[in-house]
Amino acid sequence: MPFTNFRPLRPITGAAVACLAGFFALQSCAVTDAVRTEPYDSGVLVVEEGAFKKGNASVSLLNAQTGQVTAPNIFSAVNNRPLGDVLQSYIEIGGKGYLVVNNSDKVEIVESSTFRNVGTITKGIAATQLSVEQPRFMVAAPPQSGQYLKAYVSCWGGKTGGPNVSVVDLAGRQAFKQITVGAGPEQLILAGNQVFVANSGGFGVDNTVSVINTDTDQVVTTIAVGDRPTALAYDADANLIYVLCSGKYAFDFTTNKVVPTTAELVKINPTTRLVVGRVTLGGKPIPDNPSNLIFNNTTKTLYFNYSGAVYSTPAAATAISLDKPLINRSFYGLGVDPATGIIYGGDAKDFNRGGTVVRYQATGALLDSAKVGIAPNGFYFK
Amino acid sequence: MQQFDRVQLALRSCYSPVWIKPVILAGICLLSNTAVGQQSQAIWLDTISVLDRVQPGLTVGLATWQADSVTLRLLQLRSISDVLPAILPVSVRQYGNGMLSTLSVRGTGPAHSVVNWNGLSLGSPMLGQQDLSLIPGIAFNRLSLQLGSYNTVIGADAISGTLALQTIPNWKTGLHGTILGDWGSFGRYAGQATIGYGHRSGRWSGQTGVYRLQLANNFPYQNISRFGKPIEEQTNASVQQWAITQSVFGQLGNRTLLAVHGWWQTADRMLQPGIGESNTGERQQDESLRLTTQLSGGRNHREWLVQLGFTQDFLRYLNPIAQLDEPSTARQYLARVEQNWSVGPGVARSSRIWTMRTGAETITSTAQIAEYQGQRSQTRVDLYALLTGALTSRLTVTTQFRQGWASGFAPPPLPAFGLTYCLLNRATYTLTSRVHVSRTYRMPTLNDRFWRPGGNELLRPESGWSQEGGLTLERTHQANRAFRLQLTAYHTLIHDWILWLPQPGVGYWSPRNVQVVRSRGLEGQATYTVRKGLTTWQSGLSMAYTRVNEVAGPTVQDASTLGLQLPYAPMWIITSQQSITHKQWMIGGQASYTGAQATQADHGHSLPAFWLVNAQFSYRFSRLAGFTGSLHLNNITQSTYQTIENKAMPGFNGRLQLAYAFH
Repeated sequence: MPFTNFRPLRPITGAAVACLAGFFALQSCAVTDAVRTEPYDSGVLVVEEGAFKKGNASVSLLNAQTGQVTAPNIFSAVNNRPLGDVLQSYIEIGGKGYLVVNNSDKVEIVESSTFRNVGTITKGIAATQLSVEQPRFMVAAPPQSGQYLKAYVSCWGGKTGGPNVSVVDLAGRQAFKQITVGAGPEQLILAGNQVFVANSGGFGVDNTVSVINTDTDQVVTTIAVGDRPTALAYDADANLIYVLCSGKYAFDFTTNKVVPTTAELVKINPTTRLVVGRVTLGGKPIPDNPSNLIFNNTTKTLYFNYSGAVYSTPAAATAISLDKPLINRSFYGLGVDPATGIIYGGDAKDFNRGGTVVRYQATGALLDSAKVGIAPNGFYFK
Repeated sequence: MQQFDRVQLALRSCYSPVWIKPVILAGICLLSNTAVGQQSQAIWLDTISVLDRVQPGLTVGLATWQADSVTLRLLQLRSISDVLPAILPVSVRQYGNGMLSTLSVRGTGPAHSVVNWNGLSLGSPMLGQQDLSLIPGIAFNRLSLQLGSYNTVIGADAISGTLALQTIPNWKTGLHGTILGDWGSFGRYAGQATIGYGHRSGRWSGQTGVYRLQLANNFPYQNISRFGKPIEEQTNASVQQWAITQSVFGQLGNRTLLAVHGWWQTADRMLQPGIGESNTGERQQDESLRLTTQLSGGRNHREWLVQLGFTQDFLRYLNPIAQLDEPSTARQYLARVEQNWSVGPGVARSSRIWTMRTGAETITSTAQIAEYQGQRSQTRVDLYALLTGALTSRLTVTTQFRQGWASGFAPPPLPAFGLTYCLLNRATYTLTSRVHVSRTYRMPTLNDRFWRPGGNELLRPESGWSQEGGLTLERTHQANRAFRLQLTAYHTLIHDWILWLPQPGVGYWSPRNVQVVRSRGLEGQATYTVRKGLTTWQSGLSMAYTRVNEVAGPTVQDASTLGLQLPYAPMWIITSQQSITHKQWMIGGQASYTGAQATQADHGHSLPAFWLVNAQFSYRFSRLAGFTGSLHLNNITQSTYQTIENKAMPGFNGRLQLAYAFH
């Protein structure tokens, strides 16, 4: 074929050329690894839960400076397949991203910088293998000689087992032990060599925090807190764990009435494993359940959602007022950028269309907003 | 015989009202089955038109689609959710194979169409919709789809379409019937028996049917949500169904017809989880009982009808993970009286007959579920008057009015006006135009009003105006050939569209009258039949182009989605059916195209367009009298498709059927 012929390439030729080019591109990457910039190295990941039973969970990447979407739906874009049903949470451990997909009974593992899928933690074919059933949150055990070896996944269970914290072998990508905890285990947090688990009660009510020793993988003690502990935060400087106890369900489905409930912020000293402080939100029983506890470690400020608004309080406060919200808008997900203190709110709308991420200054002043995937329920700041 | 007079008139020209023809043709078919000349049998032919909910006198200005014998044969041992998408330009939203399947006509929701069985509305008063996969072909022997607003005739909810399932009598003396069994892919075993009997006197006849379906439903599908995208077997999707139907017709005296219909149906289904969704062992058990008695009669152009009806739907939903065991029971009680007058110079000039139908009906719905905190009920009383007649030899008009009163909300007054005008009347064809304008409405369901938490007792009914017009071209005067082309354009605006929305600050969802929705579109349908010697070729093509979207109204939730096609409303649906019958052989095929459909209001994700191709081969054994064997092949092109996001549907599958008919 003369080189002067500028006919467009036939598709098949084009594909061949693309393949060849891709091959060399990959080769060159291997050689020039140091200058390679990975697409998802930095930014804010938006955990987009998706609509329940629709299997349309997703993850988007935001630019932390502009608040605009730099890459939508990155798991599907990279791996050419849907993520699953109800993405509950995301965490990064040792260069890997772990996507806890609640109603798919699995944790998808990606390379955190490329989002390339490298495996899945799920029930395997062998009958002896354990499953991660209705998983919610995940936290890593302290590294052993710089290596992350295992992690803990809170699981509501239900089909084959009861509520538990599954211990996952990160190299083997499977659960090898299930530690029985209270019903509806939600967030978990690592403090030293102990994992604290908020036992919310699931569809009912529990009022305990289980403490797991990461060396023995056994429950050391169970601490009584307020009703329905759902969220945890750890302040290493003050050596305190904050437990948001959302209170009993404020709406009574049987009588169709709002029953005011007591919601508390309980403080635990992780060393003594004793409750060292309790603050009743609003100072009295309240007609709705607060949720989504977020901690800004720099300013030592706690944020939470309550009754269609966002509230903030100094972590050390001995009384928490619910008179004046920081942001008067209802959010499904909440986050605070530890670097800038910017507040991220995820508006899920009606779960039948993409949600919106709205950003605010720490003062509550509106910054900007961006359209994201369905039901943004949380943020991960890279 | 009046009927034959009318036939003569009808065949002579289109100077008789166009709407009379199908009735007469139906009459001929029925008469040909019976011993012509038995005087007593002519009587019910008059009265049956009183029972018919989609008879041409009522549908002036609207387009009706009537299932032919080939379609009815496809419905043997199947539910209408399996067959409708292949033959009608409507969308059936299937939550998996054999799972909940709802009807969407003209891009609107399942609650905007009604399924009417022998004058009873089947839709659950709790949900306002009917699961089509729980309607086996055995439950009726006549199926028609009335497109467009039909509220004045049927009552609430008939905004976009009315699927009318009716049982018509066969007066043939003695025992006759068919027994069928089939064996198919994915652990499918099904059987049915229908037995008809006619008394010697010709005054009594009955039909009994039994249906049974067992489906393991372990079809292979690609689990695209899983690492490596493996091919897996569908789990937790098995289906069990039983149905028993009974109809009795009796001519009491010379001018009175009694029709009694009963239908008991039970189903036990594991609910197919979505692709990638954890199998939570969900299960649904349904049990329904439907009973209705119709007494009709009359003479000298005065006919009357009294109908009583009862339906009971028991539904139990089980979810072991969420520890849910939710039983619910819904009942409907119906009473209807109608009076029909025909006024005109006489039968000989039936083209100038005017008919006036007035009626009153009351429907009380009650339902019980834990979330209602007791039993809730709703009563509706409707009065209606329908006047139809020929103004000139070419022009037939209908003026209809219905007003309802309901506990808890105020139904709007419903006027309707329709006409057909014969544009061309040539030796070999006729061209007719039609126009229909009507007010239309849908009432809030019991769940919308009483579900706790969230139920909103202040909801207004959805209401709006619907306009449509079209042309019908029909070839006439050819004994062995029939051709019919129907074209329709429509425009419907629905105000106060009800949506369940999350309520900020309270943690639950609640229905609100929020949207204004506009549905516009074009529909076309062509049928062609030709007979040559022992060979018959039946061919059909239909298409629907639908634009349905929210338009600016008093409350707009999200301005960015205004103008976007509503979710699960494909813009294009095209279906084509072909069948050739030659001696003992029958070969049939259907191909359908469903365009892409968004799964979210903002079109963030869409289901791709898909084709479905099915084929049937059947042979009537000449040496074994009464036996027919057939092979049915579905999804021949191995199309991967979904009608609800992530609900897998089976690829290529087949079934073998053996039928025995006796008479």
